[in-house]
Amino acid sequence: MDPKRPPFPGPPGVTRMPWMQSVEDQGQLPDQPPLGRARGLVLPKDEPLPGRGRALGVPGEMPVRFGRGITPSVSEPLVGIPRGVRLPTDEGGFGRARGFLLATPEPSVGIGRGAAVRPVSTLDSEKSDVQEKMPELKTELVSKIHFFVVFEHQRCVEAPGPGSSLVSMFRGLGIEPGKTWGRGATPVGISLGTESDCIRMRFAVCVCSVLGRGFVGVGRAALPPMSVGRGPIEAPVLPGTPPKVEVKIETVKEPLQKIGTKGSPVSIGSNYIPICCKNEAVFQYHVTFTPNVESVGMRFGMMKEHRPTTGEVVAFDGSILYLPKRLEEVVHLKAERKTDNQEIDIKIQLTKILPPSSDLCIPFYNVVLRRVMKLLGLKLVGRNHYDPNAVVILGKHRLQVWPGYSTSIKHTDGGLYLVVDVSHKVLRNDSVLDVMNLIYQGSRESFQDECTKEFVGSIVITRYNNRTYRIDDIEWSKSPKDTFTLADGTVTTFVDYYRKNYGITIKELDQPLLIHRPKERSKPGGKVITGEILLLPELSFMTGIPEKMRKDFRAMKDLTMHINVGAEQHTQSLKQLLHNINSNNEAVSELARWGLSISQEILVTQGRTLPSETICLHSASFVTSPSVDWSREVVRDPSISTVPLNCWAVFYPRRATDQAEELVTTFTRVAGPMGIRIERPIRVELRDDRTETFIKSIHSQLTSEPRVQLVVCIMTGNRDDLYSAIKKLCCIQSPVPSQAINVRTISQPQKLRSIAQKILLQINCKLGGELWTVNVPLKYLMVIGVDVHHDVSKKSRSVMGFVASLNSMLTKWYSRVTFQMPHEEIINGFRVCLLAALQKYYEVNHAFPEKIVIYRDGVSDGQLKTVELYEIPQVLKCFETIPNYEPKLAFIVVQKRISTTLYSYGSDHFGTPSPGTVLDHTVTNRDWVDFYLMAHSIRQGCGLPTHYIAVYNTANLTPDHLQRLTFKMCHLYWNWPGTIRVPAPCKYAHKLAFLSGQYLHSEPAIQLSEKLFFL
Amino acid sequence: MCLMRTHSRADLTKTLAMTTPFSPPLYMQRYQFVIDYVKTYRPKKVIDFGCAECCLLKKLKFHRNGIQLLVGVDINSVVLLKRMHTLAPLISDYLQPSDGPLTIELYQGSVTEREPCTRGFDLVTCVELIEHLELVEVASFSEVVFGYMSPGAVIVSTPNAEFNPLLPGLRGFRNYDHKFEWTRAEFQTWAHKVCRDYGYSVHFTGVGEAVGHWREVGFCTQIAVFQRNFHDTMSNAERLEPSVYRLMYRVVYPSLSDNNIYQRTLVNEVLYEAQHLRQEWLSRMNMDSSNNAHFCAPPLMDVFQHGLEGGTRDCQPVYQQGGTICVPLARVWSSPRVRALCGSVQRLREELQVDSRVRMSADGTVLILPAAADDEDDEEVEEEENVKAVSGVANNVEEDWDRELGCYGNV
Repeated sequence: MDPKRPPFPGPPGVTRMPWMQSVEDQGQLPDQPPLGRARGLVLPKDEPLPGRGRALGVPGEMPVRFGRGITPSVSEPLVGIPRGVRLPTDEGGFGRARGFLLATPEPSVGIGRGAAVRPVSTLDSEKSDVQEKMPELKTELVSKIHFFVVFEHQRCVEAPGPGSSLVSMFRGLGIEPGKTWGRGATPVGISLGTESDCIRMRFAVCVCSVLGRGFVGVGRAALPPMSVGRGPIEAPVLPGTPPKVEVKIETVKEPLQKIGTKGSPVSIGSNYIPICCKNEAVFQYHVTFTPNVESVGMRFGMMKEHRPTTGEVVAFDGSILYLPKRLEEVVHLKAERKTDNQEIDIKIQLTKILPPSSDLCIPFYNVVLRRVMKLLGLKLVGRNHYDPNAVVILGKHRLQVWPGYSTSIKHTDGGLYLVVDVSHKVLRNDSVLDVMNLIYQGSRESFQDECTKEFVGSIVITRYNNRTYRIDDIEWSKSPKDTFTLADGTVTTFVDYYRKNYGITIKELDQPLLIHRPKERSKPGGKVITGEILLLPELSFMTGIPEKMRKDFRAMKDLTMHINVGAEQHTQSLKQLLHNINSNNEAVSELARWGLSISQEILVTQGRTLPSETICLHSASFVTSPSVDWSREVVRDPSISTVPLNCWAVFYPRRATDQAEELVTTFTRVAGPMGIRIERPIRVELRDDRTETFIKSIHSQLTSEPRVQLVVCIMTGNRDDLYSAIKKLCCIQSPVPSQAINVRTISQPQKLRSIAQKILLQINCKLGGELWTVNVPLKYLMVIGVDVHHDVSKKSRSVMGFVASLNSMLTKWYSRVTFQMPHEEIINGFRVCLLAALQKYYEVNHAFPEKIVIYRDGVSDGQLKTVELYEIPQVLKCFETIPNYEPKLAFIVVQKRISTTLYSYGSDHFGTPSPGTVLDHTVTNRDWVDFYLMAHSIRQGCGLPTHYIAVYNTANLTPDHLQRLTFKMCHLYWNWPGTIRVPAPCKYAHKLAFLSGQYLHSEPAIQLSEKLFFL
Repeated sequence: MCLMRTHSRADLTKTLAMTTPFSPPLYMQRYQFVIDYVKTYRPKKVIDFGCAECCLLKKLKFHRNGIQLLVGVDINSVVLLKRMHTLAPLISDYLQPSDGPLTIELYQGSVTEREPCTRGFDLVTCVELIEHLELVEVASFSEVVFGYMSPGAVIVSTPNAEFNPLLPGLRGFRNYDHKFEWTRAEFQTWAHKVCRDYGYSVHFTGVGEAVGHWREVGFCTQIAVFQRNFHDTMSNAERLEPSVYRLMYRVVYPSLSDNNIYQRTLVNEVLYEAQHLRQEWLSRMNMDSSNNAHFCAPPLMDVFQHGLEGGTRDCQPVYQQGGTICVPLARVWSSPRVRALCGSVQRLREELQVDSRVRMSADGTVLILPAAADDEDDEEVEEEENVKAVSGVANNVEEDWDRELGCYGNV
């Protein structure tokens, strides 16, 4: 929206018929930002209401109107009136709508023109921060002399919200819904004369009234040719072609300031492969069928018959058509409806010219990519492709590791990239039935419970197709002898079904059935898929690493050997894939259909390594070494503060007496250098290691001696039940810090010393001691970490862990937990925690924090908008409850599970990058201020950075600040004398949520909230 | 020369299915007919002409019944290219390789051309194919299929023109690409001539019957099943003729008949079983020894007794010998999976003795596994040797982000 921008070159269409621009009348109601879309279905001519629509705003108070304004005289400011289309304002929230079938055969009003004058990006994946935008809008509008109301018979991309129309449209192409943020309503304003400015318009209004058209005619006649303005441009003005009807401009916005400067430059490789687009543009058309053809399948069929016109390369969803070639502005075709021999008129209307890297194209590029992967002989399992010819078989464990790739095409700050990650699929030779049999042999009584525990939440792959299903439940009352109804209505038993269709004879007739409940979704045809899918255990193979194996260190080593590939191997397999693609003629030509070609080379660019930090202990301080490990220093020099262990108790079963004795002795020996004072403990020898014995003794000890500061339990073996019981007792019932130690860890005399040192440090933290810190040059700062733990089997509740710093050294932490039901907004619990933390901060510092930095873990890309639009406003509201309090806030989303990998690059060789490596351009997201930071040092495998997205930043922290603060925070996890992958508060929050969700199943006692009892 | 048009079978049949009351739909019934035939006669090599979208092949791949070579031929390479991947092995084919081998090949070619690699088949299917040929071409089709290829059996299906009046709304042929639609008599005349010319015998049947008195018009789809009357005497030498078809796709399914796969599968099962027994034994010993330390010693016989519980076959206990644990082959043999893979202990022994991954005693009765699990620390924290030199000096340039922010703040 830069008025200094050159005026938009008048497209021929426009000059030919200088024509009404429009603004939604929402422009005049700036205080009610309607974010809406209307999906106008076939409109009866006399009814100006779009089929349905919803608007955000003040529901009911003032209907959001969209209309078309006619300017009888040039001097009269007028915005959308007569044919205002009223949207039912039944619902706040983001509306959706789309201008759909405009049942007007008259070319003079309609898409072409609407599109022609539309000088703005339709797809506008920029943050559609409407609230923020509105004031700006207001002033703009007021300053205008005229406004004309445009209507666009144009399908709109939706407002934020799942299930966008674009997404659903591509479902037909068999692709996953990508995220597409559109802007619900951003009006277009166009003025006559000098000032050419425009506001984005993203609304579709279908008005077909004759009256309206008449007005347009008048307006048109009355107006001199006008110029159309536009903001900053990324204009797809095609070289060599005369100025075209510019239908679309990509993202009108300033590039985000996200590049930092601190640290030393370093060459960095990443698993991004540049994609070159040879096509100059992709053309979007709107296809109308008259009379209307409901069946999407039939629409496909009719369009298919016209391949001679459209060419072989098409992406069509039933109403929107994308072609790499340009047709006439309007093309009329005929088809015959087979069912009733009705002649159907097909109108293909050019609506947009997209740059080939447009977000609208990404979905079907990804479809093409899938086809390419198939051509290479790779097998699709879930979302990734695997190579059956490179399978590693781990016979010992009855499983196979399939190497493969997860691939996707993305449009990042640097352009269009193919993102390839090496992926491994673990498949098991056992069917679910095999495993059930094993479980049955093990425990007959608790068979059903054990099965539920083992299977629910796991993914199986069926024997008769390559589909994967998540098991949601087990149906014990059914068997393969039961019947079900096929799509055509016939009823058959499972046994017959599999025999008839797949020639499979079911051997076990008494097995239960597995239930998969698909997420409700609707197919392009409008069919809604609901209900359960029943699977046979005998025909379902297990996937993933067996739980038992996870606990077996040695077995896991066998496995991780194949799965954890180093940078060298990683880049090798990437190069192999690129080679395979580029040497496969079919693959190359498949990509070329859309003008794509994939580079042979892995992206190499410049990143930075952030400066080393200084670790401060009580009196010693030192700069971290390149390996960022200070395990020696923390046991050699005193910690910042220690809590003397005056009264503590050790509980151990009789057979662990020796080890317990040894441990206590070692504790006293190693405590001195760390600055810990430690007295002899109360020793409680238990006659056996049953859970009840432990619990009873601990309980009676705590009752008889209330001064006990710490409970240490020495357990034999890995015992979840015992651990859970001890933690429940010590974290909820009788709150006291507790330390559980597996006897195995303290059984090796040569390692006992270092183990004891580590345990002692951990104990010190749990008691409220402080180990080390780094200097953060921000005063009155509060850093908060939030993570959510989802219990896979108990799908009912999720747990949010919340940890907030209380002092300027960032060594005191306040922690809270809230449980939430599925679909419950996390924010409810969040507010309670935040207020409590602020209060506590005030108690400690006699002031509230001026700056608050929240690190929020567990947010996927698709949820960023939700965070921005719901969570952050709620956080801000929280501050309002405190009088005169307006802290600065930075809200940073932390993403660990990402597909981006970083490599160091030097002398034609890829390796692992050093800790502190940051990359803040090229691969970053165009919509946010974000960066990738690899804080930890890598022993095994590849450099997996963590992705940080500053969703909100009124603290005005610069990219350098954000990056360095984050890196600093990665130094502060006291369970690890080195840097970790995520900021310490996130890790603490994770630990806390995990303990509470997995073992406590309830909130820990408030008395413990100022101690890191959960470490 | 385009003999088989690009119209897919499925398309045609779908149109028909909409207007006829057959259930299951007629095309399914036709496929089922072929499947039933395969089930009864168990041909090893099957070729489907006009395979188009490979629906029949896909069905036969599931209902294998001993088929080892499955070939599809269509004149339209585009449709083959599009659908060929549906014939690829499934994940489960790799997880549980089948017993018998299976190879699937797709060719682009015409049924009126002589292609050497189509000879020597047990069954040729031409489902709804001949009506797409001109009558002249039908003659050369007969010559190529029956005379040149001379397979053991041929299944030909085609519409029965006599049934057409019963199809609602049908004018002319059932599909515009049909060159003819035969009555039963016409079909049979052709078939009998083929039998005379090339030494086959035929019987007629069909799928899709009308109800009531309409029955007499015959099946909606008429089917002729030809059986060759003489033994296949073709020598391989004849195959040296040049190939005229274009191979579009070829895939060999993993199967136990592949020696490598068999060996691998067997050894994996054996090792899994042996490991399992070893683990069981170790954990029992462990438990005993830990109990020993604090309680009265359990009877040493315990291990032995446990071995006895399993019945006579399992009587041979797992035992330790020096640094190794010995698992008797008989114990492994008792696993049903191992048994299913090889019929006798003798064979098992032989297979294992040649495999480098298995250590066996000299007499081949005992599997030898390492006893001590190389005990490694499973802790997250590993002691790392001191690689770093920490500089004691902090090069701490005073920073104050607040001040920096102050500057920006006013912008």
